[in-house]
Amino acid sequence: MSETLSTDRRSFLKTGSLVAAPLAMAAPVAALAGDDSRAKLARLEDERAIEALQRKFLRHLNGAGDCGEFIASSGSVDLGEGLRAIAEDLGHETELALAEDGLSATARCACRVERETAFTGDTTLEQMARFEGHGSHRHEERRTLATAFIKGKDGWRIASATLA
Amino acid sequence: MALQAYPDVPLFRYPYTQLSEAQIQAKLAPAAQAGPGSKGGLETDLAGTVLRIVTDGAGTLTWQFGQGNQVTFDGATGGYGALTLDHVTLISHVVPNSTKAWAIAWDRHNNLATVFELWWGGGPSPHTREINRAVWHGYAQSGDGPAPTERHTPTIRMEGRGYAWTEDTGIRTIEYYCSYTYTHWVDLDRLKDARGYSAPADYIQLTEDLYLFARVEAEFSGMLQMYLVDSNRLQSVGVRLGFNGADELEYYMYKGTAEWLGQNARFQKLGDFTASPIPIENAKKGERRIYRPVATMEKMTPAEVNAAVAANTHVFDRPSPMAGNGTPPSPGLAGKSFAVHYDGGPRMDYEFTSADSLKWRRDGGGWTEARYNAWEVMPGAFIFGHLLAGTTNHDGHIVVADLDAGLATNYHGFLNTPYFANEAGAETLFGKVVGQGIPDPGNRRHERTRDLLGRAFTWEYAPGLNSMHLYSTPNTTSWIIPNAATGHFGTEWSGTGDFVKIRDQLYFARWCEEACNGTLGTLLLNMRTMHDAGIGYHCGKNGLSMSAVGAPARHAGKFEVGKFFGPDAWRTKP
Repeated sequence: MSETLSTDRRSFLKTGSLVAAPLAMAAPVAALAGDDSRAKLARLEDERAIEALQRKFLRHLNGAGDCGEFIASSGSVDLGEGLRAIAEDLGHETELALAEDGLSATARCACRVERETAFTGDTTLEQMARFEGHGSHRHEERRTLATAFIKGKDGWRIASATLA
Repeated sequence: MALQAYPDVPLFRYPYTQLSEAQIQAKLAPAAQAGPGSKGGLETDLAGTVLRIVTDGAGTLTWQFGQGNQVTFDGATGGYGALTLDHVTLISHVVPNSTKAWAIAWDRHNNLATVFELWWGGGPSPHTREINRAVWHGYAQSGDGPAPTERHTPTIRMEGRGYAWTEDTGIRTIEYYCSYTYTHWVDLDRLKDARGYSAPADYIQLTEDLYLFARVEAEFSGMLQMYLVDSNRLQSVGVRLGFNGADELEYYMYKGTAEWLGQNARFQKLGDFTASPIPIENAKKGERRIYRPVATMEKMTPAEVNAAVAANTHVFDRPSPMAGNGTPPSPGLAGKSFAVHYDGGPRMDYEFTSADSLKWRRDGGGWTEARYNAWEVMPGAFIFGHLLAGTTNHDGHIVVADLDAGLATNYHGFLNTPYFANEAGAETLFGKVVGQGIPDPGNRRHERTRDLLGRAFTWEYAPGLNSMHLYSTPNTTSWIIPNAATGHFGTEWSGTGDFVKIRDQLYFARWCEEACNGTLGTLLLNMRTMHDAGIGYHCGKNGLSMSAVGAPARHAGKFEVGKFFGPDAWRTKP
């Protein structure tokens, strides 16, 4: 069983009250901790770590560098062809679901995605577009970034990421 | 083939002579001395005038007009012609002992002028017979007053308009100005098969109601047709200059009158009046983007086609850029069986074994399995397509079956046309659907329609891949490509079209990209949903493909042109 938190960006950063209720239901973690406040703290730290990882992931997708250091496996990220930029849509709440055992999580984040399509085909339309000087086209899509996270001995990593 | 001034084959099939500069100069020599011909009189009131035009880019050009129709330019004296439309005079002359000519539009009210420098040979056109032009804007010097800062300018204000012009020669032409850099014209008298053709054009605004227009019939005769347009009075004065299909010089000036046919929607952002063509890096003088599809078309032999088909055949097995915004295929035919009996044959039996697999047999022969896709564009009306593997010409059947009416129409595509083996040809087959629960239509059939004639639709196939269709004649489909970022419709081309009514507001149309990309494109247009589903059939070095076509549509408008085409105008010549 997992719980879904619906937060806006501000509340995501100040999660104390918001995570309190779900954590109350997260019995295994609480039981292991043996102390409700320690469990809350652990959960809060996980939330913050995941949020930071998600931001780092987006920065790297936007050209900051190779994501390999925090991706579980290279084939686990499929964001489609021609991705040129991705930005979180701050007008929508991010949904985070942390597993009861505290070892995995999922997030759904509304995004604005910019793609570039290269007109390399042999259709007349593509040929004429190239002829007019348009070898490619950039356009924006509104999509949802669905990310799965796993926690290992080195901390949180991205298990998979797709755009829905 | 004997030379024909105006060929009785489609212009893209006619072998225009590659004239040399020497031949052209010799043919121009009499006209350089005599000036243009005309049906009515030409004007002589320029006698004694020295016209000094200061241009932005070509310096100051001086014409000294003598008695009669004599003009001296750059030390050479020859004949000229002039006609005035309201207060703008169009002047033209050929420079003696050269392959050069000039045309001038001179506004006598404000002295603004636009000069067309014209020449044959030396490029940028790759065909010496095709006239080159460079356009210079400026003003006529007069007295010591300050030079005007205004200029004539390229414009999009004519985009979307359509006129039916009649010259004082009696020649009638429909001209659709679908783009700000191209035009589409239908010569109703000299060409006999009611086809439209596309050509690069200049559109220059002189005043609120006066424009200068010029088309060069590039890739065909290479002729220039230039005229001043009075858009209120629906009048023109013009000049036609160049070499017809018989390599005869045509050089005459004329007056014209027009019937206003309508105006299609423009798709630039509201408030955007920019009209400068997309620049070309390091452009030569007069260079512009002229689409020359036969030069870039892959041309294959029958053996090459056979090998390409054997190596790479793709039937709805990969994404199609022409259907990025298409609707998903329909499973509605899965499990059905029926036959299509085409008038005059063939008789096709079908078993649709799944949503994308069928078995067919022709005229009672053996069954063959094939991959297909189908779209139910209106309830009970399907378009589906499949290849007929093993046929000599690698046939494809693209069928619209109305199961509620028991009627079917097939755009039968095939390769190995007499021109290019990989070019798709097409024939239209009408028939009836025979099967359990399907009504027998008796002798009724789908029929060709003129409901689409004169209409234009935009198609948004995929991000950045848009087009407009203009169904300009009963047998012509023209397509115009916009700049995806700005909505300026630019390059245009055209080919054979055919149009069949399936139901009210449901039409089956096709276009053949002859001497172009060789594609047969088809669409089933639902004007109630303003969406289509269609199928493309194409062969090139990458193999044979049958792929989805689909896009939302916008109705850009309709020109009322039905009266210009006789009842047999749909007939096409190979």
